[in-house]
Amino acid sequence: MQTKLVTIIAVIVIIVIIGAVAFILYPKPTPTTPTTSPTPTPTGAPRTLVISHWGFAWSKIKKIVIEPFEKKYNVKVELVSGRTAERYAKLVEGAEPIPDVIFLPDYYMYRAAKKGLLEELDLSKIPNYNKLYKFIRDALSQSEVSKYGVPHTIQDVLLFYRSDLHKPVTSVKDLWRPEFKGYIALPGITTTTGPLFLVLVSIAYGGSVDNVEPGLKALEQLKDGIVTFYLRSADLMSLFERGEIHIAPGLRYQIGALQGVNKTLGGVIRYVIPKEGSIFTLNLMAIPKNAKNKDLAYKLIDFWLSTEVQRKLGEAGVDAPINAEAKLPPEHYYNIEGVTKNPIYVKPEILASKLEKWIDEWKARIQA
Amino acid sequence: MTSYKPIKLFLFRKLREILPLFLIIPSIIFLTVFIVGSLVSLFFYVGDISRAFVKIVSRVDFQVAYLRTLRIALIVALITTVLAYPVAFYVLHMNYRARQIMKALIWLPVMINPIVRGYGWMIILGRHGLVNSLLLTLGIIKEPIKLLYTEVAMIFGLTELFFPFMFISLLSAMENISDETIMAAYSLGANTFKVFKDVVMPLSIKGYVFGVTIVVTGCSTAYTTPTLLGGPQNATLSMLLADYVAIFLDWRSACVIALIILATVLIVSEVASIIVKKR
Repeated sequence: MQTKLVTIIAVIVIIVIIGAVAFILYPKPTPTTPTTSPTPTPTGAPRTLVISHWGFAWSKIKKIVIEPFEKKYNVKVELVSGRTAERYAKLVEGAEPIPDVIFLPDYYMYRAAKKGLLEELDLSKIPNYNKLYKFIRDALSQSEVSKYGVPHTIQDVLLFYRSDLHKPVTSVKDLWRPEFKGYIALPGITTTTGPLFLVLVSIAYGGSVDNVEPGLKALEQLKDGIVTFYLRSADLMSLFERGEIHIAPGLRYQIGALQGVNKTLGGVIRYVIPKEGSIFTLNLMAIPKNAKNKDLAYKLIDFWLSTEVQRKLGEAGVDAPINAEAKLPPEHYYNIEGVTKNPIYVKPEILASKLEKWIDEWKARIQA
Repeated sequence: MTSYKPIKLFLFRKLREILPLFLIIPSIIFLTVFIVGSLVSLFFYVGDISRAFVKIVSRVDFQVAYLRTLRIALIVALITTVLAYPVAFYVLHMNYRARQIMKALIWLPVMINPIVRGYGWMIILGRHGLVNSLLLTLGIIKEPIKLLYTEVAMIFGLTELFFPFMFISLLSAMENISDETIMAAYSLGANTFKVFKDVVMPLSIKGYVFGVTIVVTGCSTAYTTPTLLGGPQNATLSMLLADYVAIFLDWRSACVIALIILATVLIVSEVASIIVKKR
């Protein structure tokens, strides 16, 4: 009995030691050296282009962008899909396959650029860039991330509300109307929408993009009227569907998600651009430094921004087009003409320096 | 058998002694590599966590979430105790067939995905849900009361989630009590309550401690149900952990929270067994 016990313990100890040693010696993933010149391939054998994307609506994207692109340049596109944080973490770790084009929100792209993971872009290789709305190019140029990424779509904060039960909503201040008490959902502060909404409220109550104290003060007054904080679009949808809420701020792409619920409710959920302005963020495309097919990556980025692709993506409800020539009919929810009136960009530098503090304040004073 | 030579018998005996060792090696490897090993590797991966530990522990949102998690886990453990003991005792008195059917019925919800059950509770507890409509029609309340997105909803959901585990561990402990013991108690004049209090409960206490450990562990690590029913404003430790993993990408802090959950669960189960041993 004694010897058996000793043997078992010895085996455990040996395995733990081997495990520990293996973990110490385990080679940390090192970024592969960037290939300076693209390897020439014989015609006929398609090259492979890896793109890192959320993967949402991929079947539509495939039809509109990927298949025509594959045909035009004789490439095979490979998708690495995943949520933002996941794919960002992979980029930082240098996980294989290394994407040639990566899609991320501007804040994450900025962090990646700060870590030196992204190629500085040569905009002359992206002729379609000049077709983007001027306000978007101007906004992005305020940020350092403009050197590394080009936008492919825009997300602005809107207000969704039940138009059958309430008078029209025009301002974010309408959330404070007594009738909405107990019928409000706000985005969680850790979502993309959360900080943008906080900025919106702050501007409405006399603050600014980097002074959110007035917003936090105002939201403290609202606290008792909040049903919950949502983390995903699906939550927002379900909250409206179950009649838990009558108003919620959200991003433009969520109109798409709300369409189904809206149909069952009889089209009563309306969305409105708050009169305080359109607080927006941009989703960017960039090329990682160690990408293997940089020439093709440039071609894909340019292709993605072309008028035809942008318009089709908008029409299909994938992304709001930001190519000024890719006009959608005025009634389409991805027509962003309304945003051009008073666009307010929250550049990644602001989030990088303030977000942590905002999250703490919000958690302590509002979401508690 | 008689035809075996002594030397062969000797070898067989050796084999008989060694064979069990070989048989348990796979499970030992599994446990050490994947559980102990992953814990050990955690430290190698994240490095020194002492500073992250201080940072996390001093955060207000962590303290609130910690107390909430502990509170909810203990309340749920208490409620499942009150609910499961009588049910288990009742089922114990059934005949074999009825007992199997009852076990299956009580175990059935476990086989349904927690997400589905979470949405079920949302329908029951919501503003226009079952509970509110019932109370409104009966005239007990004038306006819908807020049940969903509160700790009460989380307790409802988790109780439903972990009741079967408590029930099964109690019942298996009770089934190990020999029928003769119980019959002896009855024949000596004890009524059902006395049998329960003086015979069944003390003899099933080990199963009870096991059940409490499962419930407390489960409540401290549950993620889906608290998220759906409580929302971010009622953050538990698992929700905080998920934030650090998926949003802040701060492995070190996530690791600290995971270790704190582990330590808490170990302490709770240790305390429970000490209390039991003292009795």
